[in-house]
Amino acid sequence: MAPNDMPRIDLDPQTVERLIDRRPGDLPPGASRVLGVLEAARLAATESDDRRMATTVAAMRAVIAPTEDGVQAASPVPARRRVPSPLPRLVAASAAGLTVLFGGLAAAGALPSVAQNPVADIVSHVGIDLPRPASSDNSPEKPAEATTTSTTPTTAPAGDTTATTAVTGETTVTAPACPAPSYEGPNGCITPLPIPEPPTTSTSTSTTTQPPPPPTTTTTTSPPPPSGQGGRGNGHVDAA
Amino acid sequence: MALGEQFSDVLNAARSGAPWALEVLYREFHPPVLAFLRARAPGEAEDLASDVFVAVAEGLVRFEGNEDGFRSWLFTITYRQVGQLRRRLGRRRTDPFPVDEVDERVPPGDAESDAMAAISTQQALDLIATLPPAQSEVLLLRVVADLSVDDVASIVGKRPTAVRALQHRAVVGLARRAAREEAAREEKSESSP
Repeated sequence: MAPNDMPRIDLDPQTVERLIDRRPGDLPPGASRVLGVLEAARLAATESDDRRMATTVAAMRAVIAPTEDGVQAASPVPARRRVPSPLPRLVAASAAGLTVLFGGLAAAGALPSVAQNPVADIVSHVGIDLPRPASSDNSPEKPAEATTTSTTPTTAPAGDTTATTAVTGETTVTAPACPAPSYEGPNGCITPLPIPEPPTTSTSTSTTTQPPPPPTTTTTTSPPPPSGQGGRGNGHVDAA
Repeated sequence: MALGEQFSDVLNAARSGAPWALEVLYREFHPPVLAFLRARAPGEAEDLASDVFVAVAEGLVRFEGNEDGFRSWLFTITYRQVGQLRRRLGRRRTDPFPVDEVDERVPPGDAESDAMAAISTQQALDLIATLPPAQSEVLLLRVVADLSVDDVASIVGKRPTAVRALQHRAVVGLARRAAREEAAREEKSESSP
């Protein structure tokens, strides 16, 4: 009879509980042999086997209270081969990787200046010259020079009648009728002096997105001067 | 046979490494542990049983509880030892012998009433070992270790209802194997002169 031809036996859960709890009572057919198997298995749990008791108890004692002379009792089971810990290898590999990484950065001068200088100092003692930061002008505390370029006044093309603003807050004039950069003065067009480049410390506001302060606007009703008049680049006020 | 009232004295003495107390614990609890292991890891049972008791010694100081709790803790360690063995062996299951061999291992008998006296302990453990591992473990913990359903559920990491289902399937499986065995024996007796 093949295993899948085994007869179907239905035992309800209560009967199974009674078999396991040793309260057989009236059993259905086929259950008596199961009860015999279970009883035999229980008997196995009472069969003493003291052949290894001495060595096992000695091993237990060694674990609880190691012997005074420091010698551990022999284990009742063969010692298994100890697998070496991967931690030392991991630490060594990490250290090597970091050394290569930061060494490469230092050789390329890509370390931050606060780190590049000490590293360059240290390795210079062993005859290795590493690049050092160029200067301290590029320190982040000081603004870059490029920011000053945005302070130049915006000029309108010649003939533009719309208002033109300057950002200095001191000399800003609207000259709707004069060609840029001239403006209309009381006696004709006035060409402003080139605005000197402001000190770098005063340009911090120009880098912001805030609009410039409203310019002082002077409006006159005098007619515009003839075209071509007005000083150009001389900084002087032309007489009418 | 349980230690009963003397259990706490034995436990305290064993914690200090008293040989007599360790021997008492060994004599009391080694047989069921070995029986469990003989069914679950036949080739390694004795070594594993020693490992279990060394592990018990390592944890004796931390153990708190009565005799029932000690038994449950002991079989928790035993169960884990079997799991570790399985992992060491490449997740190979136990070595159940083919079902066809059950007939030859169980001594023949003509009546069910003879079965209880006829079957030996090892034959019973071998028969239980033919069950699927989860079923045989639950049945052994219930019968051999004499643990409650809740204790077994805690050890094997399943719900009590799942443990009851497993033990039910295990007992039904044993009954089917027994019936099959009986039918084969009758067939053999009819064919013989």
